[in-house]
Amino acid sequence: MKTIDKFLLILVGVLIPVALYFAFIYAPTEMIMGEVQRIFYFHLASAWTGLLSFFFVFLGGALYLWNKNPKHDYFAHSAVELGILFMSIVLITGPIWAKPVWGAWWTWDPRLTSTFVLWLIFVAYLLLRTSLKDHPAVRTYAAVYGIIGFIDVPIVWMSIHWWRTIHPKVITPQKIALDPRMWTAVLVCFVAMLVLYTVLIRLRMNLLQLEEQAESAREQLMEKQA
Amino acid sequence: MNRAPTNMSIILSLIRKDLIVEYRSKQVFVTTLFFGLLVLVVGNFSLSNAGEMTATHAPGVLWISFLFSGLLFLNHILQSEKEENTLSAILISPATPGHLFLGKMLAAAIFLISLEIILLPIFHFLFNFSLSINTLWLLLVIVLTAFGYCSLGVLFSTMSLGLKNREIILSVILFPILLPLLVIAVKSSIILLNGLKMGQFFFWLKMLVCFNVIFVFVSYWGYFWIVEEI
Repeated sequence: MKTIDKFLLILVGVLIPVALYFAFIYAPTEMIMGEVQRIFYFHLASAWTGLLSFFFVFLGGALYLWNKNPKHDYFAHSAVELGILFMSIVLITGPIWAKPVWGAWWTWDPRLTSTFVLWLIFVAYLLLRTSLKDHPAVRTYAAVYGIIGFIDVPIVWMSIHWWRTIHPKVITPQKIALDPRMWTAVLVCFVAMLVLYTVLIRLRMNLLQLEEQAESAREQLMEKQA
Repeated sequence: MNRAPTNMSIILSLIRKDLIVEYRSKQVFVTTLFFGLLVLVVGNFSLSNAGEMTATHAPGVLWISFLFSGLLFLNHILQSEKEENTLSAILISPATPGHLFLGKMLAAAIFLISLEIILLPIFHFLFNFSLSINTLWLLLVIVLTAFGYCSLGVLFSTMSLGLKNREIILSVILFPILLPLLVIAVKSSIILLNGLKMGQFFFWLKMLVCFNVIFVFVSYWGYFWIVEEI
């Protein structure tokens, strides 16, 4: 493991407890929703990290198509896996919050639906990659699919304007409807998630590279034996 | 003296080729039509206790029928090229990947629209809707959705060529991307079949056109990358 990865891991070890402190102790209790609202800090931070991850899928795919460097494909592949992970956190924490507040685990609210569709698209990306495992064009196909999948992201954001929604609009262009201390807690949680994301993506990319090297070494060995 | 073929003539030749093959065999059209009809019948049974809500739920059945019938054809339209090894032959002709994409997409859309022209009156009959001017608007929604659907369908069908589990993988990769288009198609159909405000319908129609333009454009762009690797 490289020194920078070790440093980032230690930083995650420090930042996550700090984020927990900000979310559970520093931020005031919300007047109407009560303690359950605290899940929002990790919910929103995961959502932002997840969306950023899907942008990286687009970026990695576009760069791969441009210069065919496998490192960009590792980047996009890792970003999809982590995007699914963080979006799964969003899709799990959302209903935990929604049940006491809305009285239902799930509603087909546009933003919920769109987030779920986005999650489905990137699970489909992974299934496509699995099916194309030994296909020579797997990287190009995955890059094209990732780029098209990312085009769904603006639809996620615009959908809130097209349909009436019951999802809370915490941040609008006019104002940020949050207590300053709550806002600080959101930012701290987001930074913690971002550092965690950086560590995970670096480790995953490295692992993908090693897997490929091992596979190619195995093939060379088989050829020699034959 | 032979003149170089124009873009339009190449695309038309490709469409004609696919449609002639389908017209001569008729097997795929008849099977797909029968499948679409079966979905309508099963949907009708499942909504038999819906009462007054049938008019709200029935459009979903129409679009499920559209989606699955289309999938059968999208699986078929490129598989036959692969089996006969004719895809490479087309690509060494003056046809570019762009021509191939537009030819396949338009042929698939024409096939699907023809299918729906037959299924739409049957749908009205089974679900007790009366034919009116709204039926023509609904046909327009079907035509527009068919273009978006077939664009992505042809792209992903080409991508999954030669895979062992291609029938499954095509639906898995196609449906999530297509979902926004289908949501708009279903919303528009509910407005039309329930005689709601046309102002709302025109809003959704504009959205449908926007989504179609995006989907056709990205699929056209993606096709050049995909065909390069076949």
